[in-house]
Amino acid sequence: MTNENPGITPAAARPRRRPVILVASIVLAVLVIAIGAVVAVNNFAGQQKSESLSALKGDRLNALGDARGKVQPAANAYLAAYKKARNAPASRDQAQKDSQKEKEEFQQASNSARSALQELKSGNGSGDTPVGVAVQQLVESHEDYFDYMEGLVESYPQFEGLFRGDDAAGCNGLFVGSKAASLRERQTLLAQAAAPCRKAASELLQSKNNAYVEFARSFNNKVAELEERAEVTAKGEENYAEFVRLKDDFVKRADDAEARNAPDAEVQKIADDAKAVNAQIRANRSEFDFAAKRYLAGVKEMPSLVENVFAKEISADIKHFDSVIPAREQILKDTIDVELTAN
Amino acid sequence: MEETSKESGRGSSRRTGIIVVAVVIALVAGGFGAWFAFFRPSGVQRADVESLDKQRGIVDRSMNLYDPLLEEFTARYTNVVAEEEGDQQKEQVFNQESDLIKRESDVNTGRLDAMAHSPVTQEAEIAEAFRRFKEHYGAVIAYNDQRLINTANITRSMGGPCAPLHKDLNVSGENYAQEYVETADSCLLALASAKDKADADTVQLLEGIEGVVRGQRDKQQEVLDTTDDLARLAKRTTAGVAMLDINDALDKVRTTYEDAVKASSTKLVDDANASNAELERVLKSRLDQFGAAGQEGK
Repeated sequence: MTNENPGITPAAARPRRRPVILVASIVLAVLVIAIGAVVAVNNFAGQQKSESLSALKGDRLNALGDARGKVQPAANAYLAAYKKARNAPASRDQAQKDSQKEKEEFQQASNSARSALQELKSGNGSGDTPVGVAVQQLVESHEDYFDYMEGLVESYPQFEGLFRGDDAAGCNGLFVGSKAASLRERQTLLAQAAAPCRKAASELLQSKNNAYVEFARSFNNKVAELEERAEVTAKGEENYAEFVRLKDDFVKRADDAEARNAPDAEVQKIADDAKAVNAQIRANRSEFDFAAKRYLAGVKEMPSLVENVFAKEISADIKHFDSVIPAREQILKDTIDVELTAN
Repeated sequence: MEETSKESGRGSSRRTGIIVVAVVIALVAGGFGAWFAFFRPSGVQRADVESLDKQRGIVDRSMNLYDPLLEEFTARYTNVVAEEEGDQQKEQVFNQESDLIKRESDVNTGRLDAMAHSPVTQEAEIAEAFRRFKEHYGAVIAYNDQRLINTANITRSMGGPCAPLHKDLNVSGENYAQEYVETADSCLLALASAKDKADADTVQLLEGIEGVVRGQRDKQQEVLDTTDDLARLAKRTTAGVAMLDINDALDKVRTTYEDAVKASSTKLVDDANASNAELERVLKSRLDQFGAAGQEGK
C-alpha cells in the first residue's frame, strides 16, 4: 500500500480504490459461496448416490429375491391344483375353473416379482456404468425366468390334455395297437387320431416356455414318423397278399409246364420270373420289418418323450436359472461394492 | 463502512486487515473446496486397492456363467436343428442364443478393461500380476467364444445332414447303398463347411468323422458300381460288415476330441486360477502396506 505518486493526494486515490476493494471482496465472497455450494452439492449428490446404491444392494435386491422366491411354489401349486381337478375327473374348462384361485395366486406372485424387478431397474438400468451393466444382466435373466414360468403355467392345460381321453387333442388315439384288424386299418385309425393331435401339439409351439416348444417340435416329428411307418407296413401287408397270389400262380404254372413236358426255355422263364418275385418279396419283407420295428420303437418312446418334459427338460431349465440368477445377483452386489468403495 | 468514511486513517489500516483476512479465508476455503471437489489425493489409496480386488472377484465369478449359458445354447440349438425343417427358425434360435453369449463376453472384456484403468494396476509389482490375470482371463473368454462356434458347427453338421446316416437308413433295405451314398455326400459337404472358423481340435474331430463317413461311403459306392450280381452281394456283405465298425471308429474320434478339449480347457482354467490367486495375493500384500503405514496412502 505504498503511495508511489505523492503528487496525487491520498485522499483522492482512496475513494477510487474503495470500489475496487468492494468489488474484489464481493467477487471473493461469491467465489467462497460458489465453491461452498459446489462442495455441498457434490457431497450431497455423492451421498445420495451412495444411499441409492446401498438401497439397491440391500432392500431392492432382497425384495426382488423374496418376490422371485414365491413364483415357483405358486406355479407348482397351480399345476398340482389343475391336475387334481382334471383327475377328479373334470373337463379342461371345469378344471380351469376349479384351479382359478391358484392361477390368480400365481399371476399375483409373478406380477409382484415383475414389479420388484421394475423397481430395481428404474434409475439403474442405463448400460454405461458398471452397475448399470450388472443390473441389465440381472434384469434379463429374471425376465427370461418369469417368461419361462408364466409359459409353464399358461400352456399347461394344453400340454396336460394331449393324451386325455376327454380332450379334443385325443393323442391317445395314436396307440391303435390291437384295435385294428389289419395294418391298413391301423394306418387309417392312426391318421385319424394324428390330425387333431398334431394340431393341438402345434399350439404349444407358441408357448413362452421353451420346454413345451421343444417337446412340440419333437412330438410332431415323432407322430409324422409313426404315420409314415404305418403307411409302409400297411402297404407291406397288402403287397404280401399279392405275393401269395403270385406264388400260387407260379406253382400252377410250374405244375402245368411239368405236366405237358414244356420246353426248357419256358421252364427257365418261369424260374427267372419266380426269382424276380422272390427278390421283390425279400425287399418288401426287409422294408416291412424295418418300418414295423421303427413303428413299435416310436410308440414305445412316446410316453418317455412326454414324461421327460417335466422329469428332465423343465428340471434342467430350472437348474439353469438357479445357477445363473444367484450369480448375477452376487455380481451386482460386488459391482455396487466397488462403486461404494470408490466414493 | 460508515466508520471508514468518518475516520479514514484508522479505517484504512483496519480495512486492509479485513481484506487480508478475507483473502486468506477465501484462499483457504477455495483450496479446501478445490481439494474436496477434485477429491483425489495423488498416489494409490487403500480404496483403489480394495476396489480392484473386488473387480478381480467379479471377473472371476463371471466366468462361471459360461457353462450354464453354453449348455443352454447347445440344448436349444440341438433341438431346433434336429427337429425343424425351416432355416428361419434355426437361424432365429441360433441368433438369439449366441447373442446372449456374445454380449456376455463383451461385458466380461469390458470388466477386464476397466480394471486396467485402475491406478493400482500401474504400480510395477501389481502391473505384472494384472497383465497375467488379464491375459489368462482374456484367454478363457476367447475360449468360450470359440466353444460357441465349435458347438454350433458340430450341431449343424452332425445333428443336421449327418444324422440320418445312423438313424433313418434301413441297413438291410434294397436301396441302402444308394441312400447311404447320397446321405453321406450331403453329410460330407456339411462337415466340410463346419470346419470354417472351428478350432484345431474341432477340425480334427470333423476330419476324423469325415474319414469314417467317407470310408463307408466309398464301400457303398463299390456296391453300386458292381454290376455282377454275385460280386455285388459280396461287396454288400463286406460293406455291411464294415458298418459294424462305424460306432467304434466314431467313438474313437469322439473320445480323442473330448480328451483334447478337456486337456486344453483344464489348462486354461488352471492358468486362470493361478493368475487369479497371484493377483489376489499381490493385492492383499499391497493392502497390508496401508495397515503398516497407518490409514494414509504412501
